[in-house]
Amino acid sequence: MSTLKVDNLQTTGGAGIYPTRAWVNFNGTGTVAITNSGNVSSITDVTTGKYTVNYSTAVPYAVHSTTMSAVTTGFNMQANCSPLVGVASTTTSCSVGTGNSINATFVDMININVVCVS
Amino acid sequence: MGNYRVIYEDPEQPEQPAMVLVPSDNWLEEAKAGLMPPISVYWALQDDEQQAIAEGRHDTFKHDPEKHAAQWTAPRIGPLTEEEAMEYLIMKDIPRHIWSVEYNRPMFKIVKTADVPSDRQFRNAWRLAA
Repeated sequence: MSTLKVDNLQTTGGAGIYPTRAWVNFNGTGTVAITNSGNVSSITDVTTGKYTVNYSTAVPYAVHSTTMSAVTTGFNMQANCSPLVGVASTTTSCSVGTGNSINATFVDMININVVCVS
Repeated sequence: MGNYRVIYEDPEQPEQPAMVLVPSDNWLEEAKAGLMPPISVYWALQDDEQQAIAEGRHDTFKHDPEKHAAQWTAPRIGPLTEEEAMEYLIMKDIPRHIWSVEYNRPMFKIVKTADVPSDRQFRNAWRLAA
């Protein structure tokens, strides 16, 4: 297997290509467990519906983009998931949350996906 | 699934329930295969970022390219056992003030995965015993 090592990726036209720096899929219910991941050393189960994703290797920029999705098994629920407001991402981790928009509460969910692009 | 988890509390957030650090199996395999750099490589990056936060320039912060590259270029420390990997992970992913300062009771503990309660309400009520 060969490894491609470059500082920047571009199309032949010169447009920048920005690869995923880290990703993780985990189950946030019961005993929290990581299903699979890339460049993630661990997650922290902070409390109900709140998690921190720790990167294996730090990303270069403090401000980077995090996106996520999650699945809920609950009824009468409007699922919401997003990076946590008021908790700044760092180059080594990001904080995310899952909750119910109807009553504005944090809720544990299954099949949580977090992707970091930088 | 790894055999261990780390339960820890943050003395700076006394109202916060005990937290559970869950290692990635992929990362554990890399640690066991001897692919980790010295922990000081990560500490140097964390120190630089903390200084940027203290100086109010975190929004524009970017790591020094040479220090950042050390994550891949520094000599590897060799294979770790799972227990050693968990100790390494504590020093890498848990805030330093939790494990480097002596408090009047333990602030973290490595536990068997099977010993972590699966019930959230019970887990949120956890405190580490003295």
